[in-house]
Amino acid sequence: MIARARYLLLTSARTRTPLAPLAITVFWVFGTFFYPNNEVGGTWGQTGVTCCALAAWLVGAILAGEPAAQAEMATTAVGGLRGRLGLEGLLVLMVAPLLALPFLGWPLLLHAFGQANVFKPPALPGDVAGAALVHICSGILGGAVAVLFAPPRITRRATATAAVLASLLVLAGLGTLAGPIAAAQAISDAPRGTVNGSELWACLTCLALAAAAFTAAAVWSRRAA
Amino acid sequence: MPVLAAHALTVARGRRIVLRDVDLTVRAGDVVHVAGANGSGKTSLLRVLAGLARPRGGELHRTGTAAFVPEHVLLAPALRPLEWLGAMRRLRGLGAVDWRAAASESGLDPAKLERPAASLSKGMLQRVALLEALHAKPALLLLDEPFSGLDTAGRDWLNAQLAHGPAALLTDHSGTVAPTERLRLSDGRCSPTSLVALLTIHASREGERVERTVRENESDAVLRGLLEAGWHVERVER
Repeated sequence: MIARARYLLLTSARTRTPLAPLAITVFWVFGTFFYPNNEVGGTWGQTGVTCCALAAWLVGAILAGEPAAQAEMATTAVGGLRGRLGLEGLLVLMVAPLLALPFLGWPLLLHAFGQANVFKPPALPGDVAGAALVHICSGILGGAVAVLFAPPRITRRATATAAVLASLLVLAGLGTLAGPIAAAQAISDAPRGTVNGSELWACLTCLALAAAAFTAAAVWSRRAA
Repeated sequence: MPVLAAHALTVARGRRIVLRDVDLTVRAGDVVHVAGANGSGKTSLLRVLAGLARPRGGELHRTGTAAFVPEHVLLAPALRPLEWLGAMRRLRGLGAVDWRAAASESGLDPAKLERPAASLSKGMLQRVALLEALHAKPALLLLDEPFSGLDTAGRDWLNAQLAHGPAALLTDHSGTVAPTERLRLSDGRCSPTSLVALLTIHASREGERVERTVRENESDAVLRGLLEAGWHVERVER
């Protein structure tokens, strides 16, 4: 597991492709929390949805930054297509908390350094826990969508980008039924300082959709490769 | 015991079936040359055998690990070969190797391992990838045109490695490889030819007779086994 994580980190650090989504993430965090008196649930609901799209972009960018030949040699080293999907799953699990961290950590850091009005009223531990769940689960779903349309399933970059965007729109279309919008709605409506059932349910739907995306990716790999 | 056994394998590239009814057995020490015209399905077959693609039909059994080196080796531009070699080694769950010494032995300047991959030539990257594959000591090496980017010294080095290495299955248009078997791909079919002479051993023990047909390179071991089991070897025919 550690060897695989190190391989992914090395690949990510040695390509330029992840720079754009990382830069956008930084600016999004600064932009969101530049203004004071943010409403806790609404703000973190919005950044949770953003996390889904950013995770899709970042995972797609990292996978696109690994040349096909390098990916093929690594795939054989990890035992074939199943090992490859495991590697991609690990990437998603690394990216989702990485993206959640600045959205949660930055406002808390500002608060700790004396900017008391980042949130009004201030965020409670329960709010942070709920927000962490929403961001990570949305991120996992976004990353899974990117994996679904990554090579060898789709090799043309433009087609993959279009497919990811279309999928994100479909997820948004699910509204409050399931997925990141449902998670955002749940965190916005949750009573202060709690993680309620709606949040947990919405997060579960995100994870279920992500699992469906991975299953589809596994089936598609067998046919497309 | 074969390291790779394929029976009635169907290989597809996208929706197109490129090979049908491929029967293939590769044993330890074999060097199998996959020959055929451009587009005959050589790379597709190697990809299936490497686990990068699933066969459309048939059975495929592989024992042990495999290493694959594609025709055009490409690493992320800023990635240093030394970093990649270490990462691949860890991915395989193997211990560290002195890559500088290994590079020297292969004729590659060790200093090149610390430069970004983008600054290395095709042949250098090819040699780096071959180094990784050979040092992984897999049961099966799958090499797509491994000689194409190598200079004369590099070709000699690789030939020497293949002669004493694990089982290898490779494509080669340069005619450099000295194979033990050849698979000729043509019109979607695959016809294997053994390039190693077959020997028939006749032996007897207490009125019982046996006849074993083996490859020349395996005959010593078989003869030794028969003699140790108390058989009298009557004759060996080519």
